[in-house]
Amino acid sequence: MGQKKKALTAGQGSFRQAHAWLHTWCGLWFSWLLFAVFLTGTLAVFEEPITHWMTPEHHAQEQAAAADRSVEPAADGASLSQRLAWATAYMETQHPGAGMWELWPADAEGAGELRVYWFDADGQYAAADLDASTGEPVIRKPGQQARKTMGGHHFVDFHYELHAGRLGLWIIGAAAMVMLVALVSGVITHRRIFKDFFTFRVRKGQRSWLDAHNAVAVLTLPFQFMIAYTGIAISGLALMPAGVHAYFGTEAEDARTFFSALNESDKPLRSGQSMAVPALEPFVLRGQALMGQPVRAVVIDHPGDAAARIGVYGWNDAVSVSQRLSSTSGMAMFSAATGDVLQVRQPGNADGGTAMLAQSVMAGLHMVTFGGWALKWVYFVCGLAGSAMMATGAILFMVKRRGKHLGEFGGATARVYRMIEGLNVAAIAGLAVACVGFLWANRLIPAGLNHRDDWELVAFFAVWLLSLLHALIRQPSAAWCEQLGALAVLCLLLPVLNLVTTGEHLLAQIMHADWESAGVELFVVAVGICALGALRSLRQRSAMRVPRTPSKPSNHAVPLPTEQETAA
Amino acid sequence: MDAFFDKHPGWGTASRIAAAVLGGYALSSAWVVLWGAMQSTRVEAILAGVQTSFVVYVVAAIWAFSPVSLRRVWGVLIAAIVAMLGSAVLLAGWQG
Amino acid sequence: MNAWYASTVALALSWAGMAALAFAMDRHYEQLTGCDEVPALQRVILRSAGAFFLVAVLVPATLAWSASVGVVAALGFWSLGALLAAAFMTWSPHLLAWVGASVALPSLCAGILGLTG
Repeated sequence: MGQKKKALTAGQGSFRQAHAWLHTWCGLWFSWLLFAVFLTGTLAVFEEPITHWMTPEHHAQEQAAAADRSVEPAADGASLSQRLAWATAYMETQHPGAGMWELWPADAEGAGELRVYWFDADGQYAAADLDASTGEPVIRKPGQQARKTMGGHHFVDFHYELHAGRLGLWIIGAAAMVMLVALVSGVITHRRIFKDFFTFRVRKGQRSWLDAHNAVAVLTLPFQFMIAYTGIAISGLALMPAGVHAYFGTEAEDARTFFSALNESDKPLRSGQSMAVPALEPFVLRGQALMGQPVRAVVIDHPGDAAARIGVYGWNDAVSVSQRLSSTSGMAMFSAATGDVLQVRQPGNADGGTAMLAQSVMAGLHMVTFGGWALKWVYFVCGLAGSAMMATGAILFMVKRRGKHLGEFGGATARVYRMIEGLNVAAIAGLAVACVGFLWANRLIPAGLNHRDDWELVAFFAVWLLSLLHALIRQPSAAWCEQLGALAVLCLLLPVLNLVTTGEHLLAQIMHADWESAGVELFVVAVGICALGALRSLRQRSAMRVPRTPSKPSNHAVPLPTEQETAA
Repeated sequence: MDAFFDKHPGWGTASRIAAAVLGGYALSSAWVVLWGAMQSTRVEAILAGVQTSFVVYVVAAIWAFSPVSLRRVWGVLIAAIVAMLGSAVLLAGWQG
Repeated sequence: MNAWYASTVALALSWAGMAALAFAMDRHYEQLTGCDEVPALQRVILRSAGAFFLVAVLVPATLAWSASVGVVAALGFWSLGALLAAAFMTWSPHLLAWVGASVALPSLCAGILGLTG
C-alpha cells in the first residue's frame, strides 16, 4: 500500500501551493468582514443621495429654495462684507479668548448659511449658526428640522471604523492588509490568469463559482489593489505610529507636536501683544483674487494677538474638482498685522512636499472626489465586483467541501463547516437585508423621536444579528432561500413603503427630476429583482437534485441483465 | 526543530502567522524609522515612510508563508529589522 | 468633451477592444467559429485592433477630464469593458462579436468628432 498523501499546511509544497493555502485561509477568515466593508463602502459612494432619500422633509424645502433662487437670485441674506462683520463681532463678544476662529461666511454664490467654529475649553470643535440676514444666533425650531438621521454617513462610518472609533479603525486596517495579502497570493496561485481572462462557464457547480470569483477579481484587479492600499494609507499614521514614537515620543502631546509640524510648520507663535482682529473683507477679496476661487472659510490663528494670521480658503467648483485627483481647495495666508502674503496654495496642491501631495491624491483616489457622477458609477460597479469577489470566494470554499469533506479540522470539521455555511448566509444575504432594513427603519421610526438616529443604527445591527441566528438555526439551503426571499420582499416593497409613509412615489420623483431619491429606489428595486433571480436558480438547482435513498432501489435504475439475457 | 514542527503542524502555522503579523509589523515599523532618519525634516520623511511601509508589510507576509524553513523565515525577518534599525541609528546620529 | 459623452465612447471602445482581444484567443475563437485554432493573420489583426481600441480609451478619458484623472478613468473603463466582454462571451459569443464589430467604428468616429467638435 502506498503512502497516503499528507495534506499540505502552511508553507509547504511548491511556491504556488503554499500561496494557494495562504489565499484560501486568509481569504476565508476575513471574507465576511471584508464583504461588509466593501458593500458598505460601495454604498458610501452615493452617501449624499442616500441621505437625501432618508430626509424627506428636506425635499419640499430644497425645491422651494431652488425655485426662489431662480426667481430672485441674490435674495438670501446680507452681503459678504456684512456677514464677515457680524461673524467677527459675534466671535469678539462670545469667544474672545479662543486660539482659533473659523468663519464660513457664505456658499460659492455669496448666499446661504453663516457659520462660525472654534475650539472650546476642552479643545473640542464647537460651532454656531448665525442668521444670514441679521447676524443673530439662530435658534432652530424643531418643526423646521428634517428627521434626525445619520443618512448615508452610516455606511461611511461603518465602512472605515465599524462605528467603533479607534478599535474599529484598527480592525478594518488589519482586514485591509489581509486583503492585500489575499490579492497577491491569489495572483500567485492563478495559473492561467491570461488564458482564463474572459472565461466564465455557467451551470458547472464548483467550476462556475471559481470562474465567477476569478472573473470579478482579475478583471477589476487594478481597482482592488488601489482601493485597498489607499484605504490603508488614509489612516496610515494612525496604524503605523512607529516613526512618530521614535522621533517625537509616545505621549498624546508628542503626536500633536508631530501633526502641527506636518500641517502647520510655519504657524507663528503668539507675540503676547494684543491687536484687534482687522476688518476681514479686504483680506478675503485679495485671497479670492490670488487663489481664483470664491471664499469658503476664513481661519484666524491667534485672534486678538499681534502675531495673528488670516487664512482664506476657497470653494472648489464641481467642474474643476472633477478634473483633479487631489481635492484640496485654494488657500491664501496673510499676516494680520502687516497684510503681507505668507503663502498661496493653488487648488489641488498640498501644503508641503511630495508626501503631503501623495496623501491628498491617495485620499482623492479612495473617495472618488474626482470625475463627477460618471466616475462615481465606475467605482460603484467596481465596488460591487469587489464585493462579489469576496462573496464568491466564501461560497466557493463551501461548495468545494460539500461534495468532499477535507478534514482540515480533524474531528471538528463537520461542525466548523456548518458554522462557515451559516456565516456565509448571514454575512452576504443577511448584511444586504440589514442595509435595506436600515432604510425601512428610517421610514418606520417616528420622525420626532429622541435619538432616532441611534434607533436606526440599532435596527441595522438587530436585523443583522437576527439573520445570523436564523442562519445558524436553519439548514443552509433553507437559510439562503429564506433570507434571499426576505431581501426580495423588503427591496421590492420599498417604494410602496415610501408612498405609504411620506406620500412620495417613484414616478413623482422622476417627474420632479429628483434623481437622487429615484436612483436610490430604482437601485433597491433592481437588487430585489436580482434576489428573486437568485432565489429562483437556487430552487431550480435543489429541485433537480433527486434525493437518493440507498435502501430502496431507484425507479430509474437500469436493471442488471439476467443470466438469460447475457448468455444469448 | 523541524521535526517538532512536522509532528505539530499547528505550531508551525502559528509561528508563520506570528512572523507575518507581528514580524511584518515590526519590519514595517523599522522601515518607517529608517525613512525618518534619512532626512532632517523628519515629518515628511516619516509620512513617506508610512505610505511605503504597507508594501513592506505585504512582502513580509508573503515571505512568512513561502515554502522555506521557519528558521529561514524568522532569520531573514530579524536580520532585516536589525539592519534597518541599525542604519536608522547611524543616519540619525550622523545628522545630529 | 461632456463627461457622459466621453464615458459612453470610452466604454464602447473598451468593450470592443476587449472583445477583439478575447476572440484572438483560441478557446473563444472556437466558441465563435468552431475552428480550434485562430489563423495567424486573424490573430494579428484582432490583437492589434484590440490594443488600438484599448489605448484609444485614453482619448475621451483625458479630454473629458485632466490627464491624471483621465488615466484613472481609463483603468476603470478597461475593467468595465472586460466585465461586459466576459459576460457576453458566456451568454452569446456571436452577440458579442456583432456588438464589438458594430460599436467599434461608430465609437471611434464619435471620439474623433468629440476631439474636433
